[in-house]
Parts: sequence; C-alpha cells; structure tokens
Amino acid sequence: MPDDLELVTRLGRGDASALDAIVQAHQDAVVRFSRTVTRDENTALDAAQEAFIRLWRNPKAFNGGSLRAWLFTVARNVALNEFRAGRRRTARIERVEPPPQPPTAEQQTADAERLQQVRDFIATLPEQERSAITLFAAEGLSQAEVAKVLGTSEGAVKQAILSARRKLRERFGESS
Amino acid sequence: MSELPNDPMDDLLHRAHNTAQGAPAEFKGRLRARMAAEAGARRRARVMYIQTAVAVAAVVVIALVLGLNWQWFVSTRPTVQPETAERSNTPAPAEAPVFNTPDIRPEPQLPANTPPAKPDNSEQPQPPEEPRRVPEPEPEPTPEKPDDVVEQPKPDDTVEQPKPTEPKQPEGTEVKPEEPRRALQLSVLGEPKLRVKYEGGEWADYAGEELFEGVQLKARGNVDLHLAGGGLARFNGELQLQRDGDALGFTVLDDSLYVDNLETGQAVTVEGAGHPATMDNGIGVFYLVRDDFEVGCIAGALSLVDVKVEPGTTRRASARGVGDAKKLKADSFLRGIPARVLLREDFDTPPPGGMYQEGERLVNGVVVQENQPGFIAFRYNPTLMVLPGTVLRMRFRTTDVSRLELELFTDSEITPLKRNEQRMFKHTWKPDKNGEWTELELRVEEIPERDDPANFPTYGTVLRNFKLHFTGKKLEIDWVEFVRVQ
Repeated sequence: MPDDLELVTRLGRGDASALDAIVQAHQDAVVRFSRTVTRDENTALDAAQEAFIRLWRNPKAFNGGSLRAWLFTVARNVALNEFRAGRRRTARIERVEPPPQPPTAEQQTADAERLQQVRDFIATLPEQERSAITLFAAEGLSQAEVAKVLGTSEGAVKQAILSARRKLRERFGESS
Repeated sequence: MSELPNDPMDDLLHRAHNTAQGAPAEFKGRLRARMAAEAGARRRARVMYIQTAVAVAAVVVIALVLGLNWQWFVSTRPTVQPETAERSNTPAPAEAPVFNTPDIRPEPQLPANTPPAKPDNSEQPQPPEEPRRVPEPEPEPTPEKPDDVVEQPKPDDTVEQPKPTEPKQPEGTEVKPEEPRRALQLSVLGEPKLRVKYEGGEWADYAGEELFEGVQLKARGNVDLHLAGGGLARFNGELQLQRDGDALGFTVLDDSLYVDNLETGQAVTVEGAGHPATMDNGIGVFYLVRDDFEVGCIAGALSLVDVKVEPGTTRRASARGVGDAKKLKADSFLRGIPARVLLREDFDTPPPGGMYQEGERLVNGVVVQENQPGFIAFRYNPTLMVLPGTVLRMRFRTTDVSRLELELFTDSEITPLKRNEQRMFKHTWKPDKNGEWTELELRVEEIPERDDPANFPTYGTVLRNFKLHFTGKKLEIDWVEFVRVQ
C-alpha cells in the first residue's frame, strides 16, 4: 500500500486516483476531529473538505511527516476561522449542538450511551483541551505532533492533556 | 519532553471518539463536485493568464523597440544640433524632420515646404525620398528606417521622455526572491478578538496560525501572549512584532502593553512613538500617550531611551526627553493577567528530580501516601526561583488527617561563614475537609522561615524541594504547581 508521501507526490503529478486514496484513508478521522473542534456538523464537513481541497490545490504544501496531522492542522485553522467569523454573525447561527446521530441498535446499549456522554462532555471542554486530548488519545498523535497541529508548545499540550484527563476522571473516573 | 504515559481516560476517549460517526457517505461526492467546479474555474483562469502574459510580452517588446530608438536618437543628436540651430532662423518649425547627417545643408527648403508635422502623420512610414538620402561623405551612420527619422517631431508625446536607458519591466513579471520569514517564538492564549496583518497585506482574523516577524496585531480587548521561556505579554490596541537580534521586539502603535520576561532569558525591546525601551529581565508596562511613551517597571531592570526605570516607578519619554520618575499606579489593564506557570508536577510520572521514596505510590496521576506518620516529598529539577507574586497551588485529599505541614527547602546557600546551608520555609495547618479533594493556594512570599520567622522567601530565593508532612491516615496529592500572578 503506497504511503502518504508517495500518494501526495502522485497527486502533484495530477494523479486523481491518489486523492481518492488519501480521502478514503483520512476522511473519517479528519471529519471527526473537525467535529471536535467546531461542535457543528456543517462547519466540520466544510473544514474537512477544505483541508482536502487545499492539499489538492497545492500538494507541495505538504512536505513530509504525518499527512493526517497536516490535514488536522488545516481543518482546525479553517474551522477556527469559520468559528470566529460565525461569532460576528451570531444572529445567523444558533448554539452549536453535537451532530445528530441516527439511532442505532448499538446506541441502545448502556455502553453506547456512556460513550455518547463522553463525547458530549468532551464538547464542553475548552477548544485547546478537547483538540489536544482527542489528537493524543483518540488519534494517536505524539505530543510533538499535537503541538504542531495546535501551533503551540509541547509543554502547553501536556498541560492541556492532563487538564482534560483530570476533568474526565472527575466526571467518569469513579464509574470507569 | 517525555511522552505522557497511557491513562485509562485515554482508552475511554479513544472508544468514544472512534465509535462516533465518520464522514457521511456524501462527503466524497461533494468533494468531487467542488473539485470539478474549481478545475473548470482554474482552466478559465489559466487561459486568461496566458492571454494576459502575451499582451504583457507584446507591450514589453514595443517598449524595448521604442526605447532603443530613443537611445539611438539621443546618441546621434549632438551632431544635428548646430544644424537645427541654423534652421531655427528659417520659418520652419524647430521640430521639423531632422536628418542625422551633417550634409543635409543643401536642402533647407524641405522643412519650410513641408507642413508642420503632426503626430499622426509622423507615425506613418515615409517613402524614401531623394533629398533625404544624402549618400555623400556619410561620416555617421544614416538611419535605415524612415520611421526613425520622423519620430522626432513629437518626442514628448510619442517617444518616451528622458528615461530611455532601460525598458521598464511591467509589474508582475519581476521575479523577486522571497526573503524567508522568521517565526516569532510566542503563542496567543485563548481565542481573543484579534486581527493580523503583514506589510502590504490586508487585515485578517487571527485563526491560530503561526506568527512571523513584521506581523501587526490589532486587538479588541485584552490579548495575552505566551512568550519563549515561559514569559507573558498582554496588550490592548495595536502592536507590531519583530525579531530584534536575539530579543523580541514590540512596537506599540496604539494603547497598552504589559510584558513579563523575568528570568525567562528572552530579552525584549519595546518602542513607542519612536522612543526605545529595553528590558532584559523584568516586568514592565508600556503606554502610548499621543506622541509620548510612558514606561513603568513592576520588577527587574528596564530602561527607557538611556534612563533606568526603577521598580515601582514610571517615566515618560517625549520630544523634550525622558521625564522624572513617578510612582507606578495600579491599572485595570493588568487585572486578570493569566498566571505564569513556573513549575508544575502532575505525578503522572515520577517527578524529574525524583521522589523521596518513602512508601508513596503513583496511582493514575495521583501520589498516595499511607505511612503513618508520613510525608510526600519531591525535588525540583531544575530548581525553582521565587519571583514576585509566586503562588503555590496544590490539589490534595486527606483521610482522617489532623495536621499538615508544608516545607519548602532552598538550594544550598553559601553563608558568610562559607558553610553550605539549606534554609526551610514552613506552613502548618489543619485540613478542614475530610475525604474531599481540596485546592490550596499559598503566597510563597508569605511563608515564614522555620529558624527565623521574620524571614520569608523573596525574589531570587532558589527552592529545591517540596515536602508535605501529615499526621493521620492517608494523604493524596493530584498536582502541585508554582505560578506567578500579577
């Protein structure tokens, strides 16, 4: 299976199938992370889409490392831009809610309910904390990679992760 | 920096995150549709670009040809001047067609007979005429093209003005190597209302991107910045930031700035209304007051132009120079400045300086001690310097504990008798909650020395370790941090 750098190189040569492979490999993760940042389905989809479009427009912008982390960075920047623009036109957008999920059999179970509670709880954390803990714990990025995505220091990332963990522990720790 | 160890909360979050819905089925389709639309627009843009490039190239060629003609004309003109001077006695206009050979004297009637040249006519190629071609001695080259000759009647309109040396390159075609921008070692805290601009650019909303030297920042409300080495800055109004050698350079363009680079090792220069201030190691406030620049020193060393500003005072620089020192007053601008974390220990892993290993256990990011009587202690690595406003914060839980005793030890100090000596500052209290997590906050500068309670830690005191004794059943500490608050 070709690696990300090879796919991006092919994309740079105009190989459309390379983009398909990239989208297939990363779309779920990028959309989920965008949702974590924005807490709004439409904004999240737009931000994720923009990340792939920017890669397609200028593949040279990615110069190695983790492509997924790169996509996260772009999606987050787009999402935050949109968020800030949105704050100026608050009349148009209501309070963001977690994306509506079609009810599934799994969601009927207590475990699924609890996982949903965790997701809802994560959505209440400050943006830096929820992005840091999501990237680190759920997406498996290293502290350094998280710092790069968030444009901050590793120390700040560590603090954000520890703070998020602590809050999670306070909320869910007793029953875990 | 060491990687954080796994935590049960991470697994829970991992499951929660990855069982959430991924990209919807239509995501890829929408992406393709957008790409197709953009590809069409790009094709159209490319065609337009090529057309524009061709047009620009044509303009360049024409400009070059005209430029060369003008140069050629200028270089040959001195030989003609005496002729034209003579001709000026004739009724013919001075701008009449001029021939570039000295042998055109036999034909003075030609200009007189010809109607005054019009710009339009002059543009047209003239058929070669007998009198014009004077083939005799020819000491200088004669023009080969008739156009070259008839261009002269209206040099100011048709041919370029006296700047014919180099054809000017049209805008946009000039390729200038872009200078690498240097990133600024700072980050914006929180999500403030902030706009950014670079030279020649437009104001744009700040979106968490990296900032580079030369950036201008405009804030509505207070904006806090985290500086290299753990420093902090706050501003309100407008700033420009640059790298000034090894220092971080601020130019206050509007309103107020606060900078704390105490013991960070990152020097700072600040300029306001053309008056420079430098702060290698200090805490300062800087205000632009019309054309004056007012600088206050809260702690450390600060100078305005060449005048030292003492801690607790303020001075103002104006066109008349630097004024007298005045007492620094409290300012609401400084309210709510975030705390600077000087040291934090979360006990997710053993502290870098090590624990005392007296039976304490690390359990899920909490250090637990059940020895009786017992204590929890660890060493700082590196050591911790007390700064003005240093506060110790701690989250802990006691179970059936009647007394707590906090001890902060200094690093070894050389006394006047040349002995290595460690001082200890101590605070004792009775916990008021049993079995509940509690957060404690203590001003370090108010904790008395055990052997001399009239002494307290001051700015510059270097602390080396932390020890919390308890009398009772169980002590747990979640985290300990030392912060500097304004």
